[in-house]
Amino acid sequence: MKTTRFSLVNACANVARGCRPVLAAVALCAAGALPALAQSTPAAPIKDSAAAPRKVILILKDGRRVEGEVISETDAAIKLRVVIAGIKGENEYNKSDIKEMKSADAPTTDAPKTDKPKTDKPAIKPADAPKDAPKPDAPNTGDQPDSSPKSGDAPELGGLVEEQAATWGDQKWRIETRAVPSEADGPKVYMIYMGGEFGRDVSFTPMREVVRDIKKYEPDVVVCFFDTDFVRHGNEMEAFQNDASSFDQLEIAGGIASLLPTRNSPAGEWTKKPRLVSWVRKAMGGAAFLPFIAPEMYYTPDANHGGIGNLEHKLDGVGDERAREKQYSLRQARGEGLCELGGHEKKIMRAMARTDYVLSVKFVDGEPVWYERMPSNADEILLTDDGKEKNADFGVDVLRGKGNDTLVLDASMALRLGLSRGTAENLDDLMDRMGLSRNYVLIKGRGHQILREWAKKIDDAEKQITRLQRNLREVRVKAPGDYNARSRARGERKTLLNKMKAIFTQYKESLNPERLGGAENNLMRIEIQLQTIEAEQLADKRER
Amino acid sequence: MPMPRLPRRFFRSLTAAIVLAGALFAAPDFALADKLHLKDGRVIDCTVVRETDAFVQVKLSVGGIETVKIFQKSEVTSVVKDTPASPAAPESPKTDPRPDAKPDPAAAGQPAGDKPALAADKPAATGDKGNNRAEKIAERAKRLDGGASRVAILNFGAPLSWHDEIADTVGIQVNAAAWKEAVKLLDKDNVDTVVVRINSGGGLLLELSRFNSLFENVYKKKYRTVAWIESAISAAAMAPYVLEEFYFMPHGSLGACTGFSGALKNVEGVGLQMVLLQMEEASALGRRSPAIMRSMQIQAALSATIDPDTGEVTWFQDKSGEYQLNPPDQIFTFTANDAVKFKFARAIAANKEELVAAMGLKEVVWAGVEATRFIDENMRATDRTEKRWQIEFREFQLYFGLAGQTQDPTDRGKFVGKALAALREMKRMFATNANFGLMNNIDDEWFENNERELKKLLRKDK
Repeated sequence: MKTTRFSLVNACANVARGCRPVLAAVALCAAGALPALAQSTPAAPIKDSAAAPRKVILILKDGRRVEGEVISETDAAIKLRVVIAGIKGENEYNKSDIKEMKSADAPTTDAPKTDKPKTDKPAIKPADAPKDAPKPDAPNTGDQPDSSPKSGDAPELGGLVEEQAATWGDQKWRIETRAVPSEADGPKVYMIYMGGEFGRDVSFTPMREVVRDIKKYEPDVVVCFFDTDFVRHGNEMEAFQNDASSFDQLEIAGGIASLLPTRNSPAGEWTKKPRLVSWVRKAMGGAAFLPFIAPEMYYTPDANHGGIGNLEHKLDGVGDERAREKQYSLRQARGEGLCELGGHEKKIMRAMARTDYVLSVKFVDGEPVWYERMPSNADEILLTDDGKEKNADFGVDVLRGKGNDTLVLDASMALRLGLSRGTAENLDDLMDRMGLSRNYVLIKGRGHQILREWAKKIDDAEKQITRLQRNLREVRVKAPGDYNARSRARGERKTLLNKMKAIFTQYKESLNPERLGGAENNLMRIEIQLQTIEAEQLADKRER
Repeated sequence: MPMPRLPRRFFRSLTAAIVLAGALFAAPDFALADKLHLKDGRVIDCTVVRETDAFVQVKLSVGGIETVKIFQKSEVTSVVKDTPASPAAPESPKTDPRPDAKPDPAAAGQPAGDKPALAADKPAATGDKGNNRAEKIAERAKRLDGGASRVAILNFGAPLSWHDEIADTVGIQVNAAAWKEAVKLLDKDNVDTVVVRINSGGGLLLELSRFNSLFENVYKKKYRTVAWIESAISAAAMAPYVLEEFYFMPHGSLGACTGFSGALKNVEGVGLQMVLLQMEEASALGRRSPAIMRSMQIQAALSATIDPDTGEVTWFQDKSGEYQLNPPDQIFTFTANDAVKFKFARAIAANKEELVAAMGLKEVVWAGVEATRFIDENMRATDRTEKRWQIEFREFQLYFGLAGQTQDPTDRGKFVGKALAALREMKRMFATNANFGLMNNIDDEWFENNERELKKLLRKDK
């Protein structure tokens, strides 16, 4: 059965990576997807599962905010099951260290799962899901769609999506789900895997097609999973590097943002406007801007988000300082604009972008309070210094990802800063964090296929252009070399040039300028060559 | 390395355009009682608006149209004033034009009556003369239409949703001539409220005064005119700056108004002073502190204080305010949240429904469709023309060169014919928008010279 096979892959993948095999198995058996494995798994560290565990939020006196399920509580202490940086564990907190305790009042996830009969069917049927229960992780924007179970489109939906998983490569275990098509009737989730090179493999034209595909399904949630390569024009960059030229990809991010269901989407553009969620694993360089457009952001435990620093050095050596500052300012503001579109603090973007920007933070009742200066009290944390003189990051710090000249977010810092709503290793985790854990349905869309096809088309287009350029160089006037032969050669050159023109025009947004030269420049050169051929033809004469 | 689209667009502010630029704010009535004696012998009847060591700004009538012009002092022999106090354009804030000057923080916080430029920062002042007029217009139209406001949205630059279909250069695709024409269509449909929806990365400084004048003297008088900012950078921020009501899209940004030419060479000297002055006046007409725009144009600190009781915002051209908006070494650009927080904009509106709600309009009829279409089509047509211009220009250069090189009279005739055809096509385009010429330093004289040269080449063989 398809379901079991994929779940097994999931479990194996987790074990193979040494990533919390026990918990992975618990999640699986909770869904009833893999009884055999569940039975052979050591007892899950969950007790009292008959009753839904109480979820609380602790505001500690040191400013930290902790959310978890209550395992036990005495007059002196409280023991919680918590998830920190995606890793589940148990922590005990002295009540004397707690400033405030609030009820999270959320539908629970793991505990009921262990209680369910271990069958091939979803552990929780749609009817069991607490549809009306408040979802603490969900944004309260007022324009979110009803996420109650939807029916219909059955042939298009699948709990486990082979085709999608196949395109996710070594990340496919992330999207496995315990839902079964015939029974799952919960919120519909459309996943977009943004992999490869941002601006090349993920660009406006294929994303427009992906969005058309999304609209067909009217999903309740659109999840953009960011796992792009930190690559610019085919040149791989290290995670500790900054690519200030990323800011020239802001328009790509802005264009894609205009397609997705953001706050800006005009009324009527989406029959049912879905929740837009960013789930970040790797969004470095130009890709770093796009996750911010979603009001809900989540990170994987191994996430990296940034790599857009040194903006203020982007144009070093070009022109005058004031004019350069103008260029930095408008780029920075556009980046910050995308941040504000998602409702996030723009200072985070600024700290990512400028080395000379100093940002500190402290946490009051778990909420960040920002200071655009060096810390002045022990409870303040320095996020980025001015990177000058003794503050400049040293090589070793940089290599270890410990630099603080510019901000690169990982899962725990994104969570602390309130940017991330939770850390999720796989799709089930993510749905848990979003309060949609029990009966969601992963839509079998064409998104991955569309992006992969586009990437292939770009590869092919580049090869084709290279071949056409070679052919163009090889055009010769054939014997007898008379007027007709010369005219034929010109005709050949025109044909080749027009073919190149068509390819550059169609794929200019994604072609590698370092490999081929900029598309616009190429188009201009082609026009000039065509005009020159016309002039040559006009000047040529038949032999007498 | 090829220039990516974003920066290339910002290379288009030309010094030549700045030198040509002059404010065009017309006052309702003024007497041309002063006389400006120029070194070329001309004596100009005018009203002197401002006189500095570097230039004289005067108001004069050109073909019956009230115009403000700036003459460099080097052009002027003498200034003879009829009266010591001519009725002038709105008083500009007295800001030291030196980039490194430390302005008087107190001046930036003067009451509205003393400093009109600061009035818009104060909530109480926003509903005064300008808005009353607009509200009256809106009221009148509502009566005609059973109470509903007739709102037109005109695109000042292609919205993001056009996805780079065309370029968005102020002065080329976005031109004041088209916006002037659109007025007839707006009136035809009884439009009472115009939304200027801005998404442009800037353009020619030359076009600023045309837009400033058009918005101030026509749009603001006829309609409640508001700006709705998606991206208003450089000239796209400056051109509509006289409008008093700004709204931002959630990702909107406005600023980065530094003038430059070529490979990021600053506009300096008189050119800089003129454009600073021009924007001081635009700030006054838009009822904003001049400190804001100044920080967008040159590296100048900007801070503000919000009165906790009244919400009144006081601006400072230094770091003395409570909130630091721009460090002294950077150029300022507003984003949406700050624009609203500091009362530069009235609200954030993601879509047109949110916009009209934020504008306080209860009932709306979307009107002026023809005007909207006209502006959009004009942008597309101008974009096509701009591309065509470059092709014709290359064609002209190619055949002009060949005509000069060939020894064969028949060939020369063919080449001259081709060059002339390209030249005439360019001339036709130039007649529709002379700003095309700025891209290649082409003006009327250039056309005359090249036509003459081509004719000379033809005569060579006779």
